[in-house]
Amino acid sequence: MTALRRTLVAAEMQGRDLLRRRLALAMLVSLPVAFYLATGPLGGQAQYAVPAAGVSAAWSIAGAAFFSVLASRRIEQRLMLAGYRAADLLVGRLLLLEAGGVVLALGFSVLVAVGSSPPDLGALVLGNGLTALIGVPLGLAVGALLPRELEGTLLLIGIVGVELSLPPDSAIATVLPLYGPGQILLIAAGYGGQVEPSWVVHGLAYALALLVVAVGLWSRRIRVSRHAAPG
Amino acid sequence: MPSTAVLTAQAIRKSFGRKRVLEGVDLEVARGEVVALVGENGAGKTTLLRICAGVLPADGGSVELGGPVGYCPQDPGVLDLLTADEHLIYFGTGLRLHRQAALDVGRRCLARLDFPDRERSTLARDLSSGTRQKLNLALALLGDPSILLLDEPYQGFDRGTYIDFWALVAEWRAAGRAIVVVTHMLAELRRVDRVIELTAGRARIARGDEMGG
Repeated sequence: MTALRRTLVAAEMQGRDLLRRRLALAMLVSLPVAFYLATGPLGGQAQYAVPAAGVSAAWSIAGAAFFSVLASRRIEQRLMLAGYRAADLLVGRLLLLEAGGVVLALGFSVLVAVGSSPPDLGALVLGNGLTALIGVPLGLAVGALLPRELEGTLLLIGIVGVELSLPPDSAIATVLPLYGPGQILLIAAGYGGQVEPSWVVHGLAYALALLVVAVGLWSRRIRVSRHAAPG
Repeated sequence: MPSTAVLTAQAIRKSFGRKRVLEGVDLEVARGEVVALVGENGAGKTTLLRICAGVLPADGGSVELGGPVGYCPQDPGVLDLLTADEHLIYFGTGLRLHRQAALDVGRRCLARLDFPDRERSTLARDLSSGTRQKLNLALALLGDPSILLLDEPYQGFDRGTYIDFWALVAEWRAAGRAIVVVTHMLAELRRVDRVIELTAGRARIARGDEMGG
């Protein structure tokens, strides 16, 4: 019960911190919306706009996760000294970010459904949901790997930029984190074919691998020594 | 180790890259004792305190602590976009305090530091540096620790609060707490029991009155 309370309070406080970054959040949401509107309803590339919107949404979600890591850096070790465990802070953060990611993914799905009328709404929701699932550990991993605003942001832009630039069936695209949801969103956009389970597995495996990397690096950084009592 | 010692650090070594900061430093603090750590910038005072607190691993040596630790870092370890009350709940939960208990205990700590009541719902980033520092110090006191590790905890305090801080140190000492204060304020060394000067990675013990207090 105590561990659950610590986890919920960690989620609450990280949520308060994140929600008060109104301008940053507005920019994180508006950039992919602008990207979608520019390519889809306004740009006339409806089929391209659907997967592009999903990949852009991943950037938003990963960005929120990245900044949550940076914001908490200076107090995490103190919280550990105060009695938190790494799992409390991590699960609290994941709860918060995944919930936010799902809300954002659903919001984007509604926007795209209204704006582009894609033929496969099920694939649209699945693709965007998978995007949110991968976006959170992607941002956490970048935050753990490069815990500096400029470098981390550039890395995120780089990853998403490469995803958006590559032909979706190229060899390089298949090893990038958002390949799976990208393929699913192509189906949603009407490129033909059916959703292949391997795309979902690819996305889930990437999310898990990124989470392992993020937790491995992050837990080393926040580790505290519990010194022994005098013998 | 004397029976009253609650903090014992032995043969602590630490390097950052090729730079050796601590070379076999010993530190021992007893219950009801105030020890000042002094030394030039870069002498390793903050590093030693961080190692004792457990937030930085040593390359060698050992630390033993005989009770809970309150650690007040030099750079306020607070979240810019949380209020003081929210910090109390956040840290208090880690200390197994329920929300209201964390607020009650924390507000008493803040009051002892003259933290203005009206600022309790102000975001930390909007607090003055001294008020922010009071929050930083209050968070170190929250769990009623028996060992206090304070890294220049009075930064930004106005003169009145600065003097009150040393009165509080005396109270904490009387209550049996072991206190280590990193300080550059040589004029205040008469208020401590022992002064340890770090020079070239080693510790030298000196009485406060010998250091110009």
